[in-house]
Amino acid sequence: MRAWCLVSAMCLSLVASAATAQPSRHAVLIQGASGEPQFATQHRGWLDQVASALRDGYGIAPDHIHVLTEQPKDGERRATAEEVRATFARLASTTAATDIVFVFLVGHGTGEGAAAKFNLMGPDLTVAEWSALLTPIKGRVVFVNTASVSFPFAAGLTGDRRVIITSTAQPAQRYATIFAGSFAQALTAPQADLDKDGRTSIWEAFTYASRLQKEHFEQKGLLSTERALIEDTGDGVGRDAASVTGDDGMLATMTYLDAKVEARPTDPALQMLLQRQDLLTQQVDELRRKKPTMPSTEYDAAWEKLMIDLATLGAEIRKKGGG
Amino acid sequence: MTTPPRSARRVLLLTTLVVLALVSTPGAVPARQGQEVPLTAETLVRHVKLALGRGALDRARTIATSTDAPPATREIGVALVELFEGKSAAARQRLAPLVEAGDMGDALLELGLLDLREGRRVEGRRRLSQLLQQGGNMTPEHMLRMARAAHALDDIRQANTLFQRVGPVPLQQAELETSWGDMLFERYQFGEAVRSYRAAMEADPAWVRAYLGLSRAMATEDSQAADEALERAGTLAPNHPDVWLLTAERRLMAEDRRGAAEALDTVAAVRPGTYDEMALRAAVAYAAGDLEAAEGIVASGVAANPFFVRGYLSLGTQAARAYRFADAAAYARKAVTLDPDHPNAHADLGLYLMRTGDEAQARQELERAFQLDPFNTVTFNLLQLLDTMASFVEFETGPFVFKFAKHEADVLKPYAVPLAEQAYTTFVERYGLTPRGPLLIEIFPKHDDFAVRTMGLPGLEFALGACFGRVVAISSPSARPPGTFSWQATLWHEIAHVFSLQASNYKVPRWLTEGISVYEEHRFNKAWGRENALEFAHALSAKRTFGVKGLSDAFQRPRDLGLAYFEASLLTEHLVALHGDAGLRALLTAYAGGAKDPEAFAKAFGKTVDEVDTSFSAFVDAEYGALARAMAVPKAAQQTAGVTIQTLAVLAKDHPDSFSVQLAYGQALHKTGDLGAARPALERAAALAPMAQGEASPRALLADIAEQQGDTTRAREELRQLLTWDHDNVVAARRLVTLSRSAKDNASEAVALRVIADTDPFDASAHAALAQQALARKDYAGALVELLASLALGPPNLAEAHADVAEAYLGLGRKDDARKAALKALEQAPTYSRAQDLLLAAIGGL
Repeated sequence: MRAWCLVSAMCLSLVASAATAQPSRHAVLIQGASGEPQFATQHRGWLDQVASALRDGYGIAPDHIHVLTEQPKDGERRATAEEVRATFARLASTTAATDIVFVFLVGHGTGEGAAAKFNLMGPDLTVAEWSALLTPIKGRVVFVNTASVSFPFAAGLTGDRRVIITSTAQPAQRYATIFAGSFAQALTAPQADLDKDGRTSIWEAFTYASRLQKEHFEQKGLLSTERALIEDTGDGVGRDAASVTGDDGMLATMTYLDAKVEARPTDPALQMLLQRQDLLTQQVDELRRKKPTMPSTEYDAAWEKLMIDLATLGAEIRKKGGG
Repeated sequence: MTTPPRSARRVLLLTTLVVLALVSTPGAVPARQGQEVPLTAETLVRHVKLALGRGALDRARTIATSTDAPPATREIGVALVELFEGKSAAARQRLAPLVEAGDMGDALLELGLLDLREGRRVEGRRRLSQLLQQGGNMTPEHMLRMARAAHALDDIRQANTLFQRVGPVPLQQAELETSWGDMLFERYQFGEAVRSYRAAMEADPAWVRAYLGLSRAMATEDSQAADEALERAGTLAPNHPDVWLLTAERRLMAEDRRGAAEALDTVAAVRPGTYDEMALRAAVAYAAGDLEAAEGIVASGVAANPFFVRGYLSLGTQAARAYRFADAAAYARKAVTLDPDHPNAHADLGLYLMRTGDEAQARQELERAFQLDPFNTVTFNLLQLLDTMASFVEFETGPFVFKFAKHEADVLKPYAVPLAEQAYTTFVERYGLTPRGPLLIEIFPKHDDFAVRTMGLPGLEFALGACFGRVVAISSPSARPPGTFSWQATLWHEIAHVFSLQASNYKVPRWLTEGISVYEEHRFNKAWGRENALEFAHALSAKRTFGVKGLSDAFQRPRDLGLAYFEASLLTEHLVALHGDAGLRALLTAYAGGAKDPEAFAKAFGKTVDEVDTSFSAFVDAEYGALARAMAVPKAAQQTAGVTIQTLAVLAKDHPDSFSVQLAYGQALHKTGDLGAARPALERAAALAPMAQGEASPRALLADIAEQQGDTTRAREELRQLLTWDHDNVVAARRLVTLSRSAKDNASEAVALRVIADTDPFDASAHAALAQQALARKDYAGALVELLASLALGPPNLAEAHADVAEAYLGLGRKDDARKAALKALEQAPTYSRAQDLLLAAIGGL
């Protein structure tokens, strides 16, 4: 069922991107107050990894990447509430409804429920204040809070066209987290591209990062003190990557931080092949939808034939320099 | 009406007992018992019991015979003294008329208990049931009698209720607590038993049986405390026969047959001719290899008492202690034949059958034991374990039958099976023996399941594996945090036991079987079996090693076990170096013939123990002398509190050959961040003791320094050096993987990945990475092993993993398997071009 949803969503994404202009992409990366030198180094390292991935791997323009840190370098701002407000105010005035705004918080959190905060330099901002900052943003928002006590942000920031990811899944998870590092890795790991379409969606990055988060504790033989959640249905109730129930993840599946590379061949023969490939891909979806009602042998045979056709076609397309 | 499943019933019953036991634990401090109750005609019997409980036999006799109490009361008092002295017939003559005359108290209880001890089951049960059925005035004293009667009748639930309700019993509080503790101890409820014994000691610090009970109950968990409790009992009552009975048991466990026999002689001097003594004498004879005498002793007991089950159970215990589980099972079966309703006979038989690998028959016996006594913790645990193991995956190959937990089978099988087969082939050749099989190998994901498989009880924290001759049980790598042990070394070690046990007909002394197993680990992998090298060198420098003659005793002391294992392995290494594998085989053959160390050494090597000891000492000096000197802590460095870096600097300069000084100096400098200065000290320490392990070891710190200084080449080299000895250090291995990937150092990465996959095979990423390396060098078979393990664990990317499998199958020419694997990859990612190409290649279309 999940696989079916993913593929359907992927098609929707393709159709949408073919019909509309490429969205503009923006990122706000914030390193909060670290508290201790070891966290300062660690958090800064993760933030730099994300910044570098967004710039070099996902092609987001450097002037669209806003970095606020504990000790700002050139072009960065200090991670204070005032600067955060100013940054979001600027974004609100410059982003369009089709844009994607990626927000990434790394550091520590405190408080509970609506009073939960992300620790900044100086006064902190509560969940409600963060929510107020996001309200004027017109584009789709991907908000990743990797700090401890990030769980209340899922309910506090939920909304239409928003993907909220938190590093913790319970109020009791209050220890320093490592999810930021996992997410940073997920943005660049080829293995995170689960459907091997050459792009890593937010859902795929979340899934892969969740796996790394889990492995971190397993490899040390420790009880896990954090479990990441994703929320994108607007009900404020998230789910984790391993959960088999819940609709969260659909929007994340259709959300990419990179720009889709459109293949526009001039060779008519190649164009025909690509059209045929689209048709076969649609047949894949149809066959999958029918799977529950088909005898397994019949399904297997149909699946194999379809895969062979698709593989043969794919080879032909690549031979002609497409794909 | 439905019957709850068997396991559910067991849970219910055990829970009930646990609840009862918990409730029954004394909440209030019991009243102290002593002389506050005056000696009167009414209290005479209690005063006699008090004196006997303290081991004051003469005083008990005086009380019993020198008062103006009524004759009947005196008769009971004297009978109690006689029972203490083992004069059963005389006691019976006194008690029987009293019972016939209507005594429903102590005389009835003691006569009933005597009947049961002497095999007069019908009369005994009748008398004790009669006692239990009394109504009327329930004094605490009488409730205590009833509780003891119920205990003797194996009505544990009623006994527990009665013990719980007795309340304060003047002069008999310690008796109450001890009897209750005994009942709990017999059912392996050691924690509760200990509480009861301590309550008894609180009530009467001179109550000998409380110390003896405590000693028994603590024996597994804290042998030192157990020894101290026995010693205390001996101080309180030097001639108490129960003290000497326990002493005999302990001497027997320590393989000191002479000491055991002498202890039994002391028992006999005070209390001759008891069945307790007889059972232990039979065990001593068995330990001496005189089976005829052992069985003769038991047979004479059976002739006198047709229900003398204890004799065979004692032989079974001794046989099991010597790893002769088939013998143990045979004796337990004889006990079952004597008394088909004896729960412990069935329980022991079940336990021994499990150790011989006959789990089906074991279950039958344990089920029967459970029917007869649902409160025996070991029986309950073993049945629960068998229920758990019913879902295990069984896999037969060659001489082996493997049992894996279902969720671990696909991961462990590809690793465990080839390793076990390699061990088997190696040892068959080395020991010239094809062991009796099949060899059952069970791998438990929960350590407590392994512990129950081994001992019937959870715990056993110090053990990782066990071998019963044909059955090997080990903890799975998932049973403990990754990096805390090598399950592969454990498996190799235990399979080596199979050979030394069987080659010696299960008569190999413990020092040798452990020595061989640890040495075999080292022979296979030079880092295995050397984890205690530094500790040994340190002991050598302090002249605290054991030598050939001290090794057996060292194996009896839990605190010395680590060193004993290591030194035994060195002794084995030395013997092999001198006399080859043939010499080792000859030694095992000598033990098989019943020889002890002196005779075995003479037969195998033509040497005395002293001669072997001398040459071994020279060997140890040659091999470990330098390390021992490096491990010696200079006097000036023995004061560690408040030492400054300046002091350490002076010490380091004065003691360049002291590992501890150089390491301490290097660690201190590293901590302060003076990395440049730390390096030479740590290098020196590493040179002095290359096998030092752990996070604070010289190599680990040198790697850290190199990394901090940006010299990742050096960091990788240090980590590789560290892993040469620190074979299960997955933290260091993971660090090495990260550094190696950054530097594209495939060789170092491969070394590190191997350590991770071997130590923590549940790390899917390690398997996936190893598979990639294998595929890159076209080692498709090797890749497939890693890929299947990775797939079983849930790989990071399912589409990639299936595609990798398809590639490996293609490489091996298994096109149909490749086709299926490619289709699985496409199921995840239909447009995955690599999987598409693999599919076409598999069907011949590319």
